[in-house]
Amino acid sequence: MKITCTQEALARGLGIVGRAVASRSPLPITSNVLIASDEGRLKLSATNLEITMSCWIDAQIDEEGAITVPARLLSDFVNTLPNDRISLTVPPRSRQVRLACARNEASIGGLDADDFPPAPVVQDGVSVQLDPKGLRQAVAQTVFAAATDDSRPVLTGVDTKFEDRMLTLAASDGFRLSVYKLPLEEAVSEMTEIVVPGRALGELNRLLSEEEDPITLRTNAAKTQVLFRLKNTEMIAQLIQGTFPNFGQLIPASYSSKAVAEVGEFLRETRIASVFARDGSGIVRLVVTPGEGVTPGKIVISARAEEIGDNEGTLDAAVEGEGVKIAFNGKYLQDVLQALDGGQLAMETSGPSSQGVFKPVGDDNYVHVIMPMFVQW
Amino acid sequence: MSIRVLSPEVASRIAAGEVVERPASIVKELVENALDAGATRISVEANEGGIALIRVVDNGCGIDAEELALAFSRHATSKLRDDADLEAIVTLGFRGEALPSIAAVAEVDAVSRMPDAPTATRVRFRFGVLDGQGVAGAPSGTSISARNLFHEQPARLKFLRSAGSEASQIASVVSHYALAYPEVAFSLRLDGKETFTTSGAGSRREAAAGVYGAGLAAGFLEASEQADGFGFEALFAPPSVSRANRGYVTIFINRRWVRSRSLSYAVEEAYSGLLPARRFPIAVIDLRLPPSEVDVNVHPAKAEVRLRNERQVFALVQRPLRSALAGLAPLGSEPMGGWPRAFASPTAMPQLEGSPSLALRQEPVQSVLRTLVDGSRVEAASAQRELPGSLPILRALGQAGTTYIIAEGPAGLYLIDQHAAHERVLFERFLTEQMEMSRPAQPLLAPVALELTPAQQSLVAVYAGVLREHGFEIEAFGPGGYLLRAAPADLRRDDPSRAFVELLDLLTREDGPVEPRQRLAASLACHAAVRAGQSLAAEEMRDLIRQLEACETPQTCPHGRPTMLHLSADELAKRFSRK
Repeated sequence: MKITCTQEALARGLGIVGRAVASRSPLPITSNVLIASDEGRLKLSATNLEITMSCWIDAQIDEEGAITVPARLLSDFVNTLPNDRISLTVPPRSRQVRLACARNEASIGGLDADDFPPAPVVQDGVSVQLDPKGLRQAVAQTVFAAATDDSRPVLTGVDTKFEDRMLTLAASDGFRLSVYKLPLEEAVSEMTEIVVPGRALGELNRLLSEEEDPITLRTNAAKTQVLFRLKNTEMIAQLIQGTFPNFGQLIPASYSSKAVAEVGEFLRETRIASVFARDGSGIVRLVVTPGEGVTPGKIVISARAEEIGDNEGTLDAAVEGEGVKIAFNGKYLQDVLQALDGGQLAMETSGPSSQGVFKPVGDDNYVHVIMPMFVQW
Repeated sequence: MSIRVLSPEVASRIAAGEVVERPASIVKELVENALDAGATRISVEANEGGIALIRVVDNGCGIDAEELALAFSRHATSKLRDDADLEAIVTLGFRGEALPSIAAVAEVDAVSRMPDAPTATRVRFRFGVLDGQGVAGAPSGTSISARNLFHEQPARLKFLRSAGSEASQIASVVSHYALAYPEVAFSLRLDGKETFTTSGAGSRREAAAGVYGAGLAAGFLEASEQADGFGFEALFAPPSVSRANRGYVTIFINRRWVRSRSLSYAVEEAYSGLLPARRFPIAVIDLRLPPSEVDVNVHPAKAEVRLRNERQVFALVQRPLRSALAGLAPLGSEPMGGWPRAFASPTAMPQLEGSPSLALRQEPVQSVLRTLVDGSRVEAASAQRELPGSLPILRALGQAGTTYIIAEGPAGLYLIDQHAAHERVLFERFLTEQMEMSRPAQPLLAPVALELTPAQQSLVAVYAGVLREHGFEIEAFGPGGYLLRAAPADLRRDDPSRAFVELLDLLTREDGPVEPRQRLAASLACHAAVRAGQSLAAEEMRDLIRQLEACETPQTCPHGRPTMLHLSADELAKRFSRK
């Protein structure tokens, strides 16, 4: 094998696939990265058996070949090299990779590429074209609500449903729920519902930030794997098996109080309150007061740390309906406000013990529901 | 079969069985008689576990020559005259049953001389029958020996344990009376060997040294309290010393050695949370109550007593013990011995006698130590806040085995069990929050259905109210089924239903507090605390130590395991052969 590419491209490629390298795996080869010539380009690939990431970079292929080398070592080495051309050479019947760049030469021992777990072939299932920007927002506004511990595995994933010309993403950890509806350019051939691991979607969102062209989502026929194909990158993830809870009934249809406020201000006051809420289970108290005559309505956000101190912040709000007192976990509140990324939002509720419903103003595609906390007022 | 009245001999042997169960009961009766006679020296001798011989010699007031034989007839006593006296018993014996009972089951030889009598009187009984009477020469006082015990009751003899076990019972009786009467000199010879003596100098600690060993007794703590007619004195081991059974709590009421489950429990309760699971305290409790408050006439052996005002006495025992224990230094720490002076004292500073800054440098050693040992944390907190629970200021150095926090303080190194320490912190927080009724609940988006075993169901029934106070909302849903609607807000962010079932399991644990509120708080704390094996950031360790410092009883977790080990600077120096 003899391949030459730029240090910059190789470092970037290793950075992308490095996210899928297994950290502590019983299978040592999964902590390696696969380097191979592939149709005139250099292919880098890594897998932790749940997620497989591959990336293609431009390269000059003088001699075809493939090898795996320790991912950490290779990427640490390449990252410190000057931006110059790197040549990778593996003599025939050898497992030593010789890397030469500028005036530096290195030799890294590798493992046979044939032993590297082959990437699954994902085809014959549903296939959809998605706008990277829209998908990125949809993922960002849902994935944080997924559960992080795997006592109920299905909740660690994001429910992904294609129906007609609509993609619906939903995530919940049992205390909050995020639902995002993303219109599709074309209708899907059949209704498909899969649960994609939250972690895989998180990785996808990193890749999407630099993507311009539509990406492809494809599943296999058995709906056990999903493939995301980007321009120069591919990610394959194992899907979570199981039925996602029916979340439709958890979104209340009506409310008795609705407050509209600036997301930025709301987030700032919540953050301040959370500083004080840190010790006491993260309780942040909201008191919504309707306006009267010329005085505008407001939301008072407060928190207290037992025997230490307390804090109270006020933000203006257009309040419709009656006033309400409601308490939330400050972290849940911050999560949704951060995900909303500016603009205005409406908080709807029917009292201190009923769900808080958060919707961005002027966008019907997103709903976030948080269960309030029962506290002493 | 015809019914007939038993002959007096048979009747008295039956009755004797109640008082004289085993050799140790004879020793007890005889020692009590000697004490009632005002003896200042009592020597006890026993051979072959007391079966061959028991001899108790005292230097008390003696028995009048004419009355000595009378003393051996049933219900003959000098200690009680009429019914009214029974209401206010101040002597140990009073029923007039002891001597006749002993005489009924052994060959008894009694010699007694009153101080001003010219000669001593001697009587002999063989298994209840007067066998001889005469004059003898003897020092003033009484000497009673009983031989061939239960010779005529082979059945009882068969039920006695080995001679060694009976001998240890006797030793236990004598040592307990030595504890109750430190002003009396006791000596005990078993099979001719001197096994135990006290000097009678009046120090209970000295008596305790005779019973528990000098090393242990030196570390004993003392507490006492007096209140209108009630008195309380205690000598007890610090929680670092404990025993595997309950036998080490000794209770005297008006100097009578008694068994009282409720008072033993009061002592154990005072140690609750300080001792590891299934470990029991060592304590000697001396209670003085007005005679009218105690009924000792429950059983002929008088080991059981009835208290008129049990709750009050319970509190009288528990409160001072608890407060003495709560203020103790951390487990195993030695009173003295900080880091070597070269390190701790400000020698680096020039010694300017009489300079204005001298006053500054002569601030209490403690605060100097804090400054030097822990430069980062001397600000407001340590300087102003009085630290409860006497935990020294600690600085986290790192984590060992992702289980223990290594910290240093003025007095050396500390290893802190992160789980136990966090458990303690949470336990105390949960209890305070519970008292303020402010445990917040986090309801679930959709209720989770649970299937509970019958045992778990009964737990839910018992703890229903407390569970709700803690933020668990649960309702029955069909047979064996339950719906979990809300969980405590500060439960670790895991599956609430699993957490709930785990909590029920923790509630069935054997150790830990008994009272439902405390028990639930302990279980919740155990569930929510960081586990062993979880790596902690420096910030987290610092925070945990800070919170532990603020605890009332930081030394142990709510289940009684220690939260920390102390390796003193002295110990380190010794190990490194610096000393």
